[in-house]
Amino acid sequence: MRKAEPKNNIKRKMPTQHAIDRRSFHFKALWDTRRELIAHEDQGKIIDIYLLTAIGTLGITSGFVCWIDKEAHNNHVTSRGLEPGDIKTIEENIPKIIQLYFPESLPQNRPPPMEARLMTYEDLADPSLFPHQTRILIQWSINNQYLGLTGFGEKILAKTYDDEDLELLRSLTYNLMFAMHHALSTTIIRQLRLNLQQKNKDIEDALKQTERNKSDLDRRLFHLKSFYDIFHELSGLKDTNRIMETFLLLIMGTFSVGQSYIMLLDQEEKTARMTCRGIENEKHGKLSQDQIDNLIRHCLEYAKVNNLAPMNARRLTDRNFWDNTFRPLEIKIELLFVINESCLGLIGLGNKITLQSFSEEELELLMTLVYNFMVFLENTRSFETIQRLNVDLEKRNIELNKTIENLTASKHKVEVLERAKVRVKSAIQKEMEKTRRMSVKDFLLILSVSLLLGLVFNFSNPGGITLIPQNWFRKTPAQIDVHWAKLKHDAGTALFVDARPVEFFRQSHIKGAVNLPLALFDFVYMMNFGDLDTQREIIVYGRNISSRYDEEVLFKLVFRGHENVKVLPGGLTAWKENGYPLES
Amino acid sequence: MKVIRFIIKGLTHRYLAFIFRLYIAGIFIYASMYKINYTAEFAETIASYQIVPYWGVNILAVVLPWTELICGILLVAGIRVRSATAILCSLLFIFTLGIFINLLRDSPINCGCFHTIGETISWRTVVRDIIWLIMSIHIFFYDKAFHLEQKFSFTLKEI
Repeated sequence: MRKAEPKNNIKRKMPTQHAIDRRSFHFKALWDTRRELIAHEDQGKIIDIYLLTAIGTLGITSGFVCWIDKEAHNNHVTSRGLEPGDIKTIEENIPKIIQLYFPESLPQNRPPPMEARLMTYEDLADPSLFPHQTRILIQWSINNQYLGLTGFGEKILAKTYDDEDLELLRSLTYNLMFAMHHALSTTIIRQLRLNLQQKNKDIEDALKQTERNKSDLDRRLFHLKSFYDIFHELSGLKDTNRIMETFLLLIMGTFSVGQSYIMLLDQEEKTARMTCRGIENEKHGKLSQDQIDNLIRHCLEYAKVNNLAPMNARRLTDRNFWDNTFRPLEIKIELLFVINESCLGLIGLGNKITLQSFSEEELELLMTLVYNFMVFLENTRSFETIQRLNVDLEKRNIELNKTIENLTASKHKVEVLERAKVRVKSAIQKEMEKTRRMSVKDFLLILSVSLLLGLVFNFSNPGGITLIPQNWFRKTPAQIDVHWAKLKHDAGTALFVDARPVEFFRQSHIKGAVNLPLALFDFVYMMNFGDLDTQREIIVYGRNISSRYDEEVLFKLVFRGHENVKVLPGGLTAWKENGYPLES
Repeated sequence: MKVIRFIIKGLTHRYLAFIFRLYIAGIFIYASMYKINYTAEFAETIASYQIVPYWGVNILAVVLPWTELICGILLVAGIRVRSATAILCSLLFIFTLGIFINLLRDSPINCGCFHTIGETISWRTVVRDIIWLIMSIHIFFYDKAFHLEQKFSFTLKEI
């Protein structure tokens, strides 16, 4: 690429009048163009003026300006004197033109900002990119973003461009660049101004919003403070009436109301508690039981019809609500709240002191406070119920303690009785077992009693017998040996007396012996021995292990006066053993 | 088997024992009446058996009737039946043994069970006493009915 150097050509040649006029014409054209370009801000218009000025001033047949916005990829082609096909060729070749004349990789091939490079047709690297009539190409740039390429065709009068033409084109191009730069700056400034205006508007809107927010926050703060005050005041109260009074005062202060009331209705207790402020006592008075019952029934029906669940409240807007029932006062706002199925109430507020109407926010705050009030009211009622239950529980505890004491005493008694029962049972068992068995104790008892009774009876009976054998206390009777007795028997000098019972005598006795049984002694003696000589020797025999018949008979004979009486100790047994005569 | 079982059940029945109890009790009470009133004669009877030493005859004659009476009364009342029955069994055994011994000795003595002048001892007497002994043994093992002390115990138990 070769740059034209018109200044050197101007210096070498002496200027002629024609040249001076021409130059003057060029300067004038430049001046007018400059003034006109400065006056416009539209880039298309500027390019149009530039093209028209260049073509008109130099008498060029055609020209085009290719305006490139690299960042926005917004390219425009403005032309004069070109066929549509040429314009299309340029538009289609714009990417190649950018790559060839404004390469990113070779910054030296691009003109520096606010600089212009002129190239003749011969210097073009690829002339096919442009229309064939293109003779001059000017490469220029505003900055790295805005680039431009201007092409001019042949001159009408001359075939080539002289130096002054090139100088004019260069100057026009500089003016174009300045104008475009100015237009871009103006556009940017205008855009900035618009942006600034928009920002200001946004700021104003933001300030207004801030004001609204502040107002809203103040209101919220006031609501919160009211909520906090009510919460703080009510939280320490445990009495339903005090809670109602405190809440009434607080909402009157919060909403600046002169008259208000709260009525709490209890269906189970059939009571109505009422608290009011700013109302004369005569106006509300004391409700009769019928009025209370009607009011409770009416409110319950209303809550049922309007599906008012427990722990909910509703503003009464029905004008007919108080028909045929007692109404405390003429109120502005009235709420029906339901604590549970059997407890509900009414809150009424009169006109404000300022006579203003209630706003929606105030109504919302009122509802919130009423909900809060309901919670406290329910808690307090629960607390009162708990207190009542505690009192009952305490009483029951006392009764229970007494019962436990009684039970303990009863348990002690039962234990004593159980022990007694065990002992009695054991004794009974023992007695029953005794009946089933014999014991030495029984034997001893029976024998002892028998002995005792026998002895007592024998002692007291005139026909009693001696228990100790009498012969133990008598002298030993005279005895005779069995052999001597045999001698005397043979000699017939002694009378043999058999003292045994008659049955034994009959069975067997010493030959010649006479039976004198002890049991029949007196009778037999009188019958058989009455005339017997008392000096006659008598030998008595008859004894066994159980009885000493002989000794008893001997003593009786002695008692009768017989002096020579002897006992045969061996008795009939010794007699038999010696083989002495017997008879039966 | 059923008949045998029925017979065994009948022979060991409590009411049969109760009848035996009343019978034995009546016999001994009746026998004791004479013996208590005629102590000397009863002593002669004891002596006639020639079993008891002469120094023990009188004391036995005094005590034995009262023992029979008390045991008879206890049997009737149903008090300490087993102990009383055991004593009566012992007495009957001794009586039977005494009669048996004297029969072997051929002693011409009276039984003396109820009267001084009564029947002379014989094998019939032995059989009779053995029957009474069996009755007493039956009472000892099977008697359970109408015990006065059991009635008293049951009353306490109910209480």
